[in-house]
Amino acid sequence: MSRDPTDREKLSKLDRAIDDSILEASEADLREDFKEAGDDFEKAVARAGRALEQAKARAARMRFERAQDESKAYREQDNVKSFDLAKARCRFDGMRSGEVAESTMAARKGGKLSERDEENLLKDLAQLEALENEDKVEWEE
Amino acid sequence: MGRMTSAERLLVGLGIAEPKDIDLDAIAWTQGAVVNYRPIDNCEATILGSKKRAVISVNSLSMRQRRRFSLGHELGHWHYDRGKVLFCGKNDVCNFRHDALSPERRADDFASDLILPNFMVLPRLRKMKRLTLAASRELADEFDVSLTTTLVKMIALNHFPMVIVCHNRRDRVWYKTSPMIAEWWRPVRALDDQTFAADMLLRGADEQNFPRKNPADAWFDFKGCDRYEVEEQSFLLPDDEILTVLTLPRQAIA
Repeated sequence: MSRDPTDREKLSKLDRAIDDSILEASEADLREDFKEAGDDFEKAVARAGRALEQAKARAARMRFERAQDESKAYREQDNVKSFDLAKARCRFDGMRSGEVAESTMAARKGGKLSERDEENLLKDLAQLEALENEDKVEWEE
Repeated sequence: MGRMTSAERLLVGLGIAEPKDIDLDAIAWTQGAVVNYRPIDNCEATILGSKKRAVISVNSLSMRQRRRFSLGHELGHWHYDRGKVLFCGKNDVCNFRHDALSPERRADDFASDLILPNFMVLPRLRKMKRLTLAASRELADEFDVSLTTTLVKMIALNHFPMVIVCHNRRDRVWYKTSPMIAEWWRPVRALDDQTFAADMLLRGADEQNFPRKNPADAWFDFKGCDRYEVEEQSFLLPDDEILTVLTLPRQAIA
C-alpha cells in the first residue's frame, strides 16, 4: 500500500516540474514570457551567460584552492611507508625497456644518470606505487 | 588574441587569472602528479608515471626560476607524452633534436605557456612603453621566471621589433628574432668591439641603465645596414656569456 507523499516530496516534485517546464520551453515561448514580463530576452540571456561563467570560475577556483591544500598536506607527510629496492629496480628496468605498458619516463637536460640519481628514481617509483595503491583503496571503498 | 594553448586552457580551467596564483605544485596535483625537490646530479628534473599518476622530481640545487621552468617542462611531458619512454640506453637520457616536433621542444613550449601565459603577458606588454631591461625584469619578477625566459616569450609574442642574441667571448651562441622582423636582420657571429656588450663582456664595464644607440653595422652585416641605428642593452649570463636585447628600427619590419 502506498503512503501519501510528504510536504517536502510534494514541494520537490513541484520544483522539478517548474525546472522541466523552463528547460522544455521553446525559445519563442521564452521570448514571449520575457516580453510579457517587460524584460529584454537578449539582455537576460547575456545576464545568465555571465552568471554561468562566474559560477564556473568560482567553482574552478575552489577546486584549485582545495588542490593547493591537498598538495601541501601530501608534502608534509611520510609518503613511502616501505621501499622494496629489488621490486622497484625490476619495475624500473621493465619501464625503461618498454615491457611495462603505459609508462611515462623523461628527464630534462639529462646526461648519464649518477648512482645517486638512479637510486632516487627508484625511490620515486616506490612513491608512484604508493600513490597507485592509495587510488586502488579509494576505488574499492 | 589567438587560440589558447593547452597550458593556458589548463590555467583557465583552474580559475587562475593572475601570475601570483600560478602555483605549479598545486597544478601538478590537479593532474595526478606529485612533486619532490632534491639534489639531482645530472639533470634538471625527471618524471616517472603510470596510467594516471606521476612523480616529478626537480633539482633543488638549481635556481628557483629554473626549478619552475623544469617543473613546467615535466608537466608538458605528462600532458603530451603520457605512456612514452623518453629515456634511451642504460643510464642515459635521450638527446632529441630540438625541432618544433621534438618532445623536448614541445615540453619547453608548454612550460613557457604555463609560467608565462600569453593571456596574462600580452596585456602587460601593451602597457610597456619602451623595451628596456628594467621593464622586462619587472615582468619576469611578477611571474617569478628568469629574465631570459621572459625575453624569449616577448620575442614569441611579436610585440616589439626585437632581437635577442647570446654571445660568448668567441662566438654567437644563439639568437631569436621577433616574427615581424625581415629575415636578413641576423646578428653577426662574433661580438663587435664597438658594442656596449663587448665593453661588458670583454672589459668588465657595468650594465647600462637604459638601451643605448649604436650603428646597426655593429650588429648586422647585410648590405646597407649602416644606414640604420639599433638600440642595445645587455646583461651577463653565467658561464661567461652575455645576452643582448636589440630594438630594431621600423624599417626592419617585414
